[in-house]
Amino acid sequence: MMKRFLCVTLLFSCATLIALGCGDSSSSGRSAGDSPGQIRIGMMPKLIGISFFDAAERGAQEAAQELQVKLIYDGPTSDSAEEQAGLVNTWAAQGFDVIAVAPNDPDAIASKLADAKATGATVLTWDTDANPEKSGRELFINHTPNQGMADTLVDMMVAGAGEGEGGQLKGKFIIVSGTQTAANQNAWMALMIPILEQQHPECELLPTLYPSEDQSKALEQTAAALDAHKELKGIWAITSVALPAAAKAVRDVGRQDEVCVTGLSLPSLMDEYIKDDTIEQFALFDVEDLGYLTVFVAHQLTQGPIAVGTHDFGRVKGVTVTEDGQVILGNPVVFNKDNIDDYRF
Amino acid sequence: MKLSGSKRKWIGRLLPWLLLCVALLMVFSQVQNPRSLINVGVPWARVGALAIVMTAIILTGGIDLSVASIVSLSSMVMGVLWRNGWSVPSAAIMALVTGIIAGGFNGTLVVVGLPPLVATLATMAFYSGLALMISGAERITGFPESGLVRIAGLPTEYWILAGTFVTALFVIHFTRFGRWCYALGDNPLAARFAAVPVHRTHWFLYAASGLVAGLLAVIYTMRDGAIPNVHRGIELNAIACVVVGGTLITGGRGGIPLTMLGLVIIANVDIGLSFMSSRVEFFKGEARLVVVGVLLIAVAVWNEWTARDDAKEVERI
Repeated sequence: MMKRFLCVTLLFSCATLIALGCGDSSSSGRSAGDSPGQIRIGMMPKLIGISFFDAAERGAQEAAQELQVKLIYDGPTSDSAEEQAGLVNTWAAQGFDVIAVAPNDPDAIASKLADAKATGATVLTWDTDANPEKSGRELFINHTPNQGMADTLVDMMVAGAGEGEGGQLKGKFIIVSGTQTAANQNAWMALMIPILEQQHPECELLPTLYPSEDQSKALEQTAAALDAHKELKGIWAITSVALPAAAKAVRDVGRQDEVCVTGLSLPSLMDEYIKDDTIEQFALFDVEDLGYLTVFVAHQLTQGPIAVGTHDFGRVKGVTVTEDGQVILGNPVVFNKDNIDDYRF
Repeated sequence: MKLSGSKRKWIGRLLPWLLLCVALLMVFSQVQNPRSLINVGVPWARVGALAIVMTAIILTGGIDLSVASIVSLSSMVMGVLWRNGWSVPSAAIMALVTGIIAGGFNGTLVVVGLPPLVATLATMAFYSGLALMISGAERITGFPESGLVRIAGLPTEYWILAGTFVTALFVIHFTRFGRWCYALGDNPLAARFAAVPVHRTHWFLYAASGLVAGLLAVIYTMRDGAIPNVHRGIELNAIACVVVGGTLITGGRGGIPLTMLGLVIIANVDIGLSFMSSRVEFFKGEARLVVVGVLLIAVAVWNEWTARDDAKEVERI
């Protein structure tokens, strides 16, 4: 009895669902509440609830206020490519004017961005690029040229652990990255390795660690590496989550003086490790500016195309727009004891 | 307050539908490009296909946590073979075979006597590690465009969902095999004494789960490429659909149509909430999780409540 009842109602509802889903475009249109004509920009971080993307949101909101656009800043709660894809689909269905995504996976998101573009949305990527051909993204809001980032990473290690004249890196070093498929990290590593091979032939790079964007895993894996390699000289932790974890792991075993830790993270996360001399310096770009720039460029694109060259976008000056569709914020900022208090992200 | 049995039963049946209506309202009040709704549902069609096989497994008192890893593994097998010069169809067939083998291996572990939770928890890690290993943690993209990703205008995932649904509906509710599944979940010892082929039933179900995972992997790979572990967490969504539908997690009671109900509820609530999030600041990512969590608890309590009613009825008879 119960089963039959369920079956009948189920079929009935499926029919309604299909009917609703197919036709009736008359019910669509901007729903009440939005002021008419206001541009709606959907901006998606890799995940929400970590300070990196919170800082980007602050900058983005600032630009949205300045430009009087409606900004929806939302994303998955874990670094999941599929959740991002789902959200892009729902944004496309709502007819957003601009969709800007920091993809967790450059390929998994690509076909969804193309679908969104087909509905008339302008599609951007920021922080990390998606497959440019397949996604059809208009522009990629990049923070730093990859080469600049790789150079800075190597330079910081040379400053901390270089030996002899010219600062040779000798001995065992290790990189702590994010996920195996993280495009930024992979690009930087790909550029770091040739520098190390050519200029620092005695630097032995151990297999890279991939703790995802997970602080406790990063701590665990770095601690294990420290334990396994008593003569480890240096650690590059190249995600905002991995660097504090690596610093903590080194401090926990009291090897601050032997192991040089450096990498990329947020000033707010690294404050205590800089101040207690666990690490000397680390780098990143101005994340708030990146969020600000993304919304500014998004808005600009709804007004018309952006030419190749150097532009000022609101308070962010001297931004390069390249021929392959990248908008580049600038070179990385190196943080140390002297300047860390100047940054509020 | 004490409601009479029949009244309670009616409310029990109606609540899920009410939820569904609210969710649908949330969705449809926001849509501007109705055609994109088809894309919105694709990930859920995938979850649904897995949930349906999962229902059959849960009916026997088992569980399969490794489906997401099997999707990943099959996808990488297909990618690696294709990169090494195999044609797309032959690589796809090997991906399906991989799915069946991986699922079958789960089945074998269960048949040998490992608790399904432990067995598939282990293979979950094993298969996803294997997927990373055979590809060297690289993605493989650039598959030629294939007509198979859309059939008759609908993304193939919908057809897979429909196919699994019809097949499972028939097998579970209209054949002897289906009755074996219920019997196994209800009382495995009694089932054994009643000459149910315990091992074969288990093995077949896990292999079927692997096959569906392989099938989804093939379609996904054709569309987006072979990307390791992109479906992480999909198994939990599938299990949620089964449980929300009202199938008992310990097995023995439930059914395929119930899971479809669970799928439609969860999918619509989730989609509805993400639609809401662009209007109401409150419904951002973390709040969505809270709402879905509260909903799951509510539905679980509700199911328990109505199940108790059913049990009483059985006693009366």
